[in-house]
Amino acid sequence: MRQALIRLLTILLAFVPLLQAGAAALQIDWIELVPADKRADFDPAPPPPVHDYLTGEGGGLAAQQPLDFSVNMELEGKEIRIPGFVVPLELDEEGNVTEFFLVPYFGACIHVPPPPPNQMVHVIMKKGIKLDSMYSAYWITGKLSARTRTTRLGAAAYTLAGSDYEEYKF
Amino acid sequence: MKPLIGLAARSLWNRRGSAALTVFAIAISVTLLVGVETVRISARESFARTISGTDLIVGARSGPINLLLYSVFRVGDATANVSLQSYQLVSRHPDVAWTIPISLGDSHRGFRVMGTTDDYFRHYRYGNRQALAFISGGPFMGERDAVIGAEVARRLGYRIGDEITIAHGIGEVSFAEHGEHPFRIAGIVAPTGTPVDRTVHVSLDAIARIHEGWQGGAHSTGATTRHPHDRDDPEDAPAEEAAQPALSGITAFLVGMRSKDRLLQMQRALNEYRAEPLTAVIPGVALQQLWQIVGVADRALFIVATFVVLAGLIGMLTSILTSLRERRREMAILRSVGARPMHVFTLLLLEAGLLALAGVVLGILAAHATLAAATPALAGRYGLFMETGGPGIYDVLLAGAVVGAAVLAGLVPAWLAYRNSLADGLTIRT
Repeated sequence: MRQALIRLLTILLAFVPLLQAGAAALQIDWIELVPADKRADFDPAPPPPVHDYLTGEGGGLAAQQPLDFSVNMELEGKEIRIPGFVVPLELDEEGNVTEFFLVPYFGACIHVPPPPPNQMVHVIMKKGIKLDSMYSAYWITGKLSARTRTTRLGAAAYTLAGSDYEEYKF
Repeated sequence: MKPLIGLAARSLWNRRGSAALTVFAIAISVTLLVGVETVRISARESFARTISGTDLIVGARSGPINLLLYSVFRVGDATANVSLQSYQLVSRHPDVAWTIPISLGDSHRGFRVMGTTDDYFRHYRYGNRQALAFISGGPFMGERDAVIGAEVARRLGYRIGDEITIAHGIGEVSFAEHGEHPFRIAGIVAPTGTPVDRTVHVSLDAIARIHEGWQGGAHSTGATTRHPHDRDDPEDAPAEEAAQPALSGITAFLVGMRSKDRLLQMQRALNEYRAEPLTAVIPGVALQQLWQIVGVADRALFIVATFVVLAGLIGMLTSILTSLRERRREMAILRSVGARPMHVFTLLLLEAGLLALAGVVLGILAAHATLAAATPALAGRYGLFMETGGPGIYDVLLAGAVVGAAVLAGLVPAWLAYRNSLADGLTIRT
């Protein structure tokens, strides 16, 4: 009963950002996360599995990265709205997902190799998502950061400070 | 209105036998509903708060949920161990910030014993990234130190400095005690509401030490437990008297990455590791999967409980309806002293409301009392930690809903009584 009420409220509230943030947030597609000059030969398939990441054998760690770390700098700091599947990383005490990877296809990181770094968004939500099922897709709204965070391997990833979410209707 | 409530209450008191039964039926149904709801919500919160800040849980090849259950919730057992080589490979990896080894399989008076390192107290997080704190003492320093959870300390009455022995195998009782290797309690962890409260922590070296000589499956240094087949020739067991026993493997380990960017690569690499079949899961994903399974059962429970409340209300309706006939005289008397048919109508609605209210209050109190009493057992047996903060807003809402439903149901007898009193007037035609 409580759940039904909360769900009803969530549905009602889902329209609020649609009205106000809909105008401000830039709705984007996953391909737009790839820099414009690389989109022509972009392959959406997951990259080949990396066997030697752990041991570092076979050409060393850097050599096994055919991964695309390039980011679309035009999106830096923009308020965006993007649909995707949620891979939960951190839950709050009520079991809501506060930190997660947003990925373009379901099962990323579970059955199939992770997508390339520029096809994944590391989201930290202001308020946790009540995730009913991992099979559901969500629209996530928030401020995107495309800053290249240079690690030892030169990896880059998008992070998003999530402010709103809404279930994606297929 | 006010005199009517008094009238309704006194009328019910006059029929207190059947009224009490009705109240009792509603109370039982409400107890069930509140109980199911509390267990449901606390279970979810208890699950969610158990692990936080850990990027990967790694164990022998099995399912994600299984791995989560045995490594973090200490429910069930591992199918196999993880080799120390694999553990060291991960712990020394440049992208890994910290690792916590976990070695399970022994017990102390029904509480699980976990072998680990002091990294556990430094890096393990629960709830909202809360670190473990100590009520007294501190992490284990040496091989003979044990750190116990708050629940262990409370239930067994242990203090810092007490000596305990650890038994082989899990369960309340074991007939194979590692008696020759006693432990001294070095620290007590503050309550967390997680399985940590119910765990006895010792160092990995200690686990290795107490299993020294157990490789054959039973302790073999004493004459009574001598292995019949391979102990005749002392040449067969040369490793037993080794100075520093080495652990052959650990049950599982937790991993914290330097950066989340590399988390998925690490998970993939571990799951595809060729030298040893391993399973690496992201705790958040495994918790969510676990909840999807448990969620079906708990929704079903909720539906059943709702129907029981409905049955209770229908029982109340039946008892009021059957009483109407014998109460025609009562209504006639009321009419004779100036009650209008509308008053009779209200009286019956109030009667239904009062019955339900009494039932709900009794039911909620009974539910919370039962939960408070059952909490230690639930935590002990199932690792389920209830939040028994007493009745809350939810209970008030529930009470309102049930009383509202009862008043709605009361419309039926109220309408009948209203019609009867109009037709009967002061005389009862039989």
